Amino acid sequence: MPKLLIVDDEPLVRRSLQKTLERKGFDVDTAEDCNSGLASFESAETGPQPYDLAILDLNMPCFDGRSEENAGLDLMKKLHLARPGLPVVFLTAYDAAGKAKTAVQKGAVGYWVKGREQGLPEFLRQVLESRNENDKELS
Amino acid sequence: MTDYKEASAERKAALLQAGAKVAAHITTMMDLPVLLQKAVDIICTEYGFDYAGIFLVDESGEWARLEAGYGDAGAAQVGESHRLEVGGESMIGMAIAERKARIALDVGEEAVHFRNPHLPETRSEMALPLVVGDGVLGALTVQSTEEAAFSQEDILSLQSMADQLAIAIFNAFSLAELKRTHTALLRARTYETLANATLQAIHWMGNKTMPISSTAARLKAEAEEGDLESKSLQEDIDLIAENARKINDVKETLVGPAIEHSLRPILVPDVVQAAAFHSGIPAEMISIESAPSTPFALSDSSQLARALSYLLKNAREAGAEHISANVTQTIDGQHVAIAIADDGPGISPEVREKMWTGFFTTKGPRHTGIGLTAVLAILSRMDGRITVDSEEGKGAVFTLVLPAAPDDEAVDLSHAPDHIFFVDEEGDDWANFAANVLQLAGKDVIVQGNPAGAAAADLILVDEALTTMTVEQVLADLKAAGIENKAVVVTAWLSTDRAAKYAHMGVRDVALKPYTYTGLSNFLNFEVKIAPTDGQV
Repeated sequence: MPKLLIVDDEPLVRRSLQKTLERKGFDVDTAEDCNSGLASFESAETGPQPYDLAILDLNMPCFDGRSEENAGLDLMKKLHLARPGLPVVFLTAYDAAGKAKTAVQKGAVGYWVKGREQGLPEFLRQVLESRNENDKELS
Repeated sequence: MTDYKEASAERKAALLQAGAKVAAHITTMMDLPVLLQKAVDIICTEYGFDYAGIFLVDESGEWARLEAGYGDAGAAQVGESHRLEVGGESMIGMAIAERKARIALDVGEEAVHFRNPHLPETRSEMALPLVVGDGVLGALTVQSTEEAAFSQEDILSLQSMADQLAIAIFNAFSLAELKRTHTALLRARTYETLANATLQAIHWMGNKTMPISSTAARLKAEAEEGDLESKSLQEDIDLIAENARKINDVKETLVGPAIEHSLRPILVPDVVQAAAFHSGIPAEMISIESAPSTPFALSDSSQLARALSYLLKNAREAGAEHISANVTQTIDGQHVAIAIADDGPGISPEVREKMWTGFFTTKGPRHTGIGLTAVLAILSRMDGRITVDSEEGKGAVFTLVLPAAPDDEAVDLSHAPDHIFFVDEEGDDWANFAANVLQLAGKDVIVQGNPAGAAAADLILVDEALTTMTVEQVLADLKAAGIENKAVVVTAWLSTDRAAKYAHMGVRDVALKPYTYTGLSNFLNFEVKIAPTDGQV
């Protein structure tokens, strides 16, 4: 079962998305900010099942605890330092093409706007499947 | 006697000539404070007087207040809010009360001693009432440092000038009053509309959220009692989903994507085409015409495309079989008009009256009725306006009016890449514009409906509104050739979802289409800067 990490400071978003994705066959953990998200990720990296993909909010408490509109980008940077190639998907309320381009150019595999998240589970599945195929080809 | 007559005729002619010059200057002025100050300045210049001042009667009708005066003396008195009692002993007060010109001279048996500390040199004064119809607006004072500078014969000529001044003041005052009334009316109307819209919004929100909260509470109770019944549960979930969809629709329609920080010159027909393309309007259903020499509009192309998309979809849903978009310059030359005409069933007068109000819809309960509200908001943010003309059974014409952009200037494009490939229809207006400009700058340009042969180009521009094949197909071909990072998807309507998708497909950039020489130059400058190095290709 693919293991996902959701990092979002809105409890209802975390819980509803977790339930939706669990229902679709994912194993889902959640965290509420950059610090706890990174801690969960690092802890899982040394455990039996690391995360296969991370879903990050963009605007949430950053590593210094202050709410920052691009905090998710900082977290992605640290996740990629810990494991380059980790698929990261942003799920944010910011409906801004510029932010979407920046996020993808910095390494995200997707940028989804809250309220238009229908189809997200299928997208995650596709990302993980194509990642697995690439891994197989490389090996 | 003959000499006196000749001298008198000459003075009369000189005064009339000066009066004509004053009238020529002031009759077209519509800004009251500017008019008053210019009038006193011109009167002194043309007549050679040492001082002139204009008093206007205040709202109480008891005082005449100095509104403009010549030179430092005038400015000082205006600063001191100098006023004189109407009907009092002053020249001005009496001229107003009696509606009759008066002269005071510092000579002869009835010598008057002038006591204004700001004008100690005055030896002669004439006060002329400013009369329009049955009313007196105030009075004009003209003064000279010469003794006996004015005669009774001068009154006729000067009063004629004062009458013209009075009309000019009356016109400017009426216009200012009209503007004040219009502003007050608009404010009242805006408050009324806002209050009405807010009430409608509260009513609408209440109707949409109440079933969600009440259903959720009931489901919770039923779950606690172990009384959840599958068919009922399905109905409840549908109800929650439907209302959540509507609330989300309101957010999407009213707010939409982020707004461009500054408005830019846009080629309106291209934006109409993009709106039709993204709204799924078949090409054969819409015709887009633009009058020659129509200027660019100053606009946010993505937001305008949203507004146009709503109007086009609305026309189609109403049953129109054909839509025409006609882009022209307005008569004042300052705006661009976009007339969207359809052959649908038209709009009844009752609906026309209510359709701009938020949450009003004729399309049934599945619709939110805020599309036109969003269109209004979008146009208002761009200093534009929209009107509708319709008769039942004869279709509808929505006319959007936007400010025209200033003329563009040719710029140096030598920094642009030497080989540029446009994946676009050969007859596309935008591609033709950009390709011509680049060819004139000595660049090698190809415009083609597919990307075959694009590998040799330094930069590949893919028009998102391409109809020969999908952008996804183009990008897949480019990726297969390993040249996707030379590609920039250009669009009139930048969408977050599509930008993320194309960026993930490996394109160099997803950008708004540049429509002017300057825009094209800036765009190419940026794309050259972010071009990948050879090692990355």
